[in-house]
Amino acid sequence: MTLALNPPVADLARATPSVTVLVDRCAGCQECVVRCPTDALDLDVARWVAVADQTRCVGCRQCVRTCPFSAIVVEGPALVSERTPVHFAEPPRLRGDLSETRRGLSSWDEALAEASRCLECPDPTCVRGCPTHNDIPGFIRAVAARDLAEAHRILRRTTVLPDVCSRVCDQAVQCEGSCSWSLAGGTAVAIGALERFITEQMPVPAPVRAAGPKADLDVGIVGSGPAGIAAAWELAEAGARVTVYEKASMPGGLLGWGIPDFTLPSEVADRPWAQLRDAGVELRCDAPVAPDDVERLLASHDAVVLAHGAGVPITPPVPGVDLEGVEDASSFLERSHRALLAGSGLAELETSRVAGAGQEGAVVLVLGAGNTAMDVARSARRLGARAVCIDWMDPRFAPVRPDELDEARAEGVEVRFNSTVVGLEGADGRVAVARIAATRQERADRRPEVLESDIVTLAIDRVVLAMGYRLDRSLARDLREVPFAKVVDEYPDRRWLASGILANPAPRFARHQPVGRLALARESARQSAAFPRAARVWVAGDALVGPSTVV
Amino acid sequence: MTTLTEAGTAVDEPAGAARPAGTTRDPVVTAVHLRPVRRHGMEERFAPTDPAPGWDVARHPKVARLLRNRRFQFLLILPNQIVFWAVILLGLLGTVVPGLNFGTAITWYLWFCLVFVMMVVVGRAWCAMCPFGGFGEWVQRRALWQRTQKVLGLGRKLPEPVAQYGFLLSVGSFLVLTWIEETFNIAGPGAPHATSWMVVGIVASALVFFLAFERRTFCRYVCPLSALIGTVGAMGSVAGFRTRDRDVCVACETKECMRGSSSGYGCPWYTWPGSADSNLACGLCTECYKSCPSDNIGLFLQKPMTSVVAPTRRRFDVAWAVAVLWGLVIYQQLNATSVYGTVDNWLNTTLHLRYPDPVDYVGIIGLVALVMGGAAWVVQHALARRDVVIPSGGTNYLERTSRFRAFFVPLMYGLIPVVGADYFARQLPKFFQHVPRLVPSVGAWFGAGSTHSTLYRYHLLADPRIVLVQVLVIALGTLGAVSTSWKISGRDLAGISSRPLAVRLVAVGLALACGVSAGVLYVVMHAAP
Repeated sequence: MTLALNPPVADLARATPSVTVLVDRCAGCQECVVRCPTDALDLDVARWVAVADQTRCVGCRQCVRTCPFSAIVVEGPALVSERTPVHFAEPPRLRGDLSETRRGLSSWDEALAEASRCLECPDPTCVRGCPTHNDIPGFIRAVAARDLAEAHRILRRTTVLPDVCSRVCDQAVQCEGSCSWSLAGGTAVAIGALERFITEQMPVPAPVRAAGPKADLDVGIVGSGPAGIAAAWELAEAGARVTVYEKASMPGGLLGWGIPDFTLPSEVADRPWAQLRDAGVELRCDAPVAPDDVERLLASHDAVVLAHGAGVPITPPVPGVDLEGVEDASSFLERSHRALLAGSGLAELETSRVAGAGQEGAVVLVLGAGNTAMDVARSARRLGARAVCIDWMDPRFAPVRPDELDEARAEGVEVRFNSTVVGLEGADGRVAVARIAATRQERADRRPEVLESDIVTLAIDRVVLAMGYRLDRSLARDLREVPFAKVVDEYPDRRWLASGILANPAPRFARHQPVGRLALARESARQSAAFPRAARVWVAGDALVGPSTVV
Repeated sequence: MTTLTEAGTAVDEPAGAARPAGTTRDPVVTAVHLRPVRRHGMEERFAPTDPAPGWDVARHPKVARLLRNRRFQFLLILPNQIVFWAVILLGLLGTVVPGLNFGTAITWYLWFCLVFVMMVVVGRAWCAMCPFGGFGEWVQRRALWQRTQKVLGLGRKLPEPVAQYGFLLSVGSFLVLTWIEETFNIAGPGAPHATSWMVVGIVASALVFFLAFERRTFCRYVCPLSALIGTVGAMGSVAGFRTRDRDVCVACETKECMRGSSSGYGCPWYTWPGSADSNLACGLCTECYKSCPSDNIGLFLQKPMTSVVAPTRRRFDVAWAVAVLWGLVIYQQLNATSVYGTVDNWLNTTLHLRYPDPVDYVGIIGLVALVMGGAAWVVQHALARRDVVIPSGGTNYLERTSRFRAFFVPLMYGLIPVVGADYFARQLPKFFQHVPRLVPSVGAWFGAGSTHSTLYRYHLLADPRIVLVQVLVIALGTLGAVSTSWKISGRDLAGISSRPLAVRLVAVGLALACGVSAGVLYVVMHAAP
């Protein structure tokens, strides 16, 4: 591990961390000893308390986070080198540009330098913070050893979409936010960049169909998005016959049309299905599965996997939302994706009916500031429109990726926080004016308060709703089994507490989001998912837990 | 190792076991590579203090069921809670005659005596049923017995600059409380409302600490009785909740006993059953027993004095607690003699202070404590082997080592039985002379109690029989201290002394001197309450 001072300290004499064991409370339980990444802690058998080798301590504070009795104190800096900066690209001409803006690590030198920042913690919190629990120290170790095949083998245990996830995951609130360095108040290892580097240096290996054990198994999968891909992959590698039913005309779900090329290039998004088809998975597009069809599927397959995602858009309860010109993000993204690929535009975005607009494009109001909203706004910009995103949350608390926000603003998207639409007004049945109220949000855990007294109007041409999604349960409506809800222990597994991931309430690196709790909520959601089940029917992905991240 | 079954539930299985068909390996477990725990020297370290398995009362199914019941501690605390709220109310609203007021009667004629019996016989039995800590804990946990997830309060830890002094903070608060008690003649008993306000004060300060700090920070560090109960309680016959198999504890990756689980809270007393080597800091609350996922904790009994003699890791704060608490009880004895009255009056006139002037309060206590320290210093100066190197400890107050500490600490531990006996004996006059007053004090609620009643004036025992009992108690305590001093000095001092036998005799002599002084004082006191 490369040692340097972070943040840099002028006076080297005061520049090392110091560890104090509070012997009054230390019970010698060795929770800290077994977790110290640098083996700086030992047990004094005579006194049965922990003792620290100050020269080995690097200030990661794992011991502080894991101690059950808060009997250890670490002061001083974190001894880790600076993170390799990676900047996004700004296309010189935005109109029609589909080139990927986000960059990865550009050389082996950069990758090795970044990999050397990893402590290889004995109880890695990054693994817990990753919703799919990738063995992150494992693949970083493989990068450090320049063994890309091993890195892919390690990744394959938990994900089939490393090239996708490394681009679209908000690592700052997941794996990177849970990194020991982040939890210690510093800057995390660039885990996402390293994962992307692996997939750029060596493509994701295709599924290898096994002979034998499951050859007689015939499975039908509803949905070809990330969950469907993972299910098909596992089953194909086990040797089963897999048929995937996709309602759209192209596969991939959100990966196919929902994430634009400038965020997720099509060669990356298309890779999984190209490989699955080559492995013999049968894909049927334009094949929607209605609730009545599930029984029929069960008759023709040994098992059915419902992986249809959470696709019902959330609609704001404001007047005027049914005016012409108001659409949900999925439909907009699908159309804009086709238009951008074809090199054409969308007629309705070329001109504006707003008075005084001149030659500029349509004014598109995007409700929301999450990933989808940013994708909508940036797509609109590439189609010649003007884009305004509004979000009712305070910028301090809104779950928006800062790098994505910077990219959007650099491309001319106007993003307004503490704002919410309270009404849409039309002219000739088409939306023309948005009435926007200011909001106030004092705390992250409180709903913003709408300030009705402070309303401005904005002349607009179109509105796109990008406020999130929810589950469509109609698919399982006709299954005969009663809803199946597991009782979830409301106390986190003590292993989670022991790892220390829950100890830092809101790391600065994670934009003060509660990283451990995010991943833990996924675990709990998985355990408590209330979805009707029947024999031979499985549910996976967002369809099981509700809207979530790609991983 | 944890695997996931088809239904998605995590199942523990021994490492290396063949995975059942249809299960997938937990990816988190695969990525975790904890360093090996240190076990070298573990058995030798704990052999002297581990109780034998046969002493584990929790092996009996009925006992186990009782301890596992979440209502158990609540039901222990409830009667005391009711009594002490009655004390508060009756002290404020009841008769002003202290002997007839149930509040003062039960507190000072009975309770304060019983607490010492519990200390000496059991250990921290009172802590398990204490209404002050209990009340604070109910508020903090927002529940009477349920396991809740969100606790009320700031949940701070006691800062290290204070916590490093361990039980000395409790000794300090006991000195302050006793001084207040003397000032207002609370335990006389004096005016009943004084007792009420004292109890309210204790409850209020407990509540403040429970809402500012996590767990039972108040009980362990601040409660006036904590140091006394912990120190004298070392004589007790309950070892507390201890590990059944230390290998299991050391290998445990979750330590629910310390962190809590869905069945119980993490230890409120900052004690780990895996390393407890005395009953000093086990509050007998049963939370660890309820939380342990491996059924690896038992409730062990021990021979009396075990926690005085056996521990290999002795505490400097406990040693000073013994010395200072000895000073306090000697002060109380001196204070009760007529000779002292003359001295005190002179002092008050000269210094223009009122009773109890802090000068002789602190002066006498300090002097006695210093005498104890001085005696230890003389012993080490005269008898310590020059060639023995005392291994250096940490830089922390508790862990620093020195030749003085190497002698002072074991010598003080040896005196615990005589200190405990003296505190107990001190309460006996009130008990023997006035405990029958409890009956008319209850009658007073219904207007039927009277100072003229026979029971009001009935003494179970009178002077000189009380003095006899006190001297007998002191004699027993002295014998106990002689025995513990002999054993402790043999194990901890003989090896570092130039004259092993002499140092043991000196240790025993110190115990005898303390016992004789206390005994003589009781004779002079003539059973003064």
